Amino acid sequence: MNDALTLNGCLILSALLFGIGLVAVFGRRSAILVLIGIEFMLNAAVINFVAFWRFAHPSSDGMMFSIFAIAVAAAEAGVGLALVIALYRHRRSVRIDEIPPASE
Amino acid sequence: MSIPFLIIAAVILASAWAAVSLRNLVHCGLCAALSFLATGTLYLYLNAEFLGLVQLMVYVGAVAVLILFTVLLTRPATEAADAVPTKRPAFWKGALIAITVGGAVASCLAVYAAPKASTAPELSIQEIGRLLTASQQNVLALIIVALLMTTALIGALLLAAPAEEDTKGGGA
Repeated sequence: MNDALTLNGCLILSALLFGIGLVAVFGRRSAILVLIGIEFMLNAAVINFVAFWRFAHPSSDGMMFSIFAIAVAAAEAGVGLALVIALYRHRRSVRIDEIPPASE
Repeated sequence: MSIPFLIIAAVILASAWAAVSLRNLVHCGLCAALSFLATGTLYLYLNAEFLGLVQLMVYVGAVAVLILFTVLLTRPATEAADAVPTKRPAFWKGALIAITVGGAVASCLAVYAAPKASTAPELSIQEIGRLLTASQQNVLALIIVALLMTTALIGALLLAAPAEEDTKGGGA
């Protein structure tokens, strides 16, 4: 039914989504938006896993990888947002250009 | 390319772009939730039904809500950041780098002759459960991920909890 659907389409979509994640990581100064950008980049990677599972390598490995990648991404989001809250508590700011170096 | 895929891809990319470029962080969080939702739809469309459901529960249900909670908990700071005019040149510099990277990869892929899809692989939820618990290495990975999640959540709790200088011995 989806003969016209191709691997290339999914891969291009995930490359563009990864690019949008990079925009947030490089261009925004709010730590929360940087984390959202990282989530987009992880999502792009999972889209790649699913696309290759669907079109090129239909064993269960791609699915297992995607599940574990999502689990790790969820843990990362939890720790990252907790860091943002800790940062806010200490500095009253969530802007990454106001974070002092770790050695201080 | 099929029409449903194009619609899903357009929603994913448009809402992701809105999430990284809007000024108000609450709007950013909501657009990110929409993008995660559309990604889940894409998984369902690609026959990965379990992953689609996991995406809905984990990203839309947990991560997006966590992002919105963080935005609201740090509201004074984000409001102050909104009031300050954003440094637009920095944003466009970042966008230029990212569009170069994403565009380069995408343009390489546009000419890449991918293998044709034979038939959609079938992997039911029962099958995934059996795979996760039957094979030795998957069980090990599952346990490691469970430990990782527990450690990460305890760590997140410790990081976000209010500092109590006087109750901990030897503090400052």
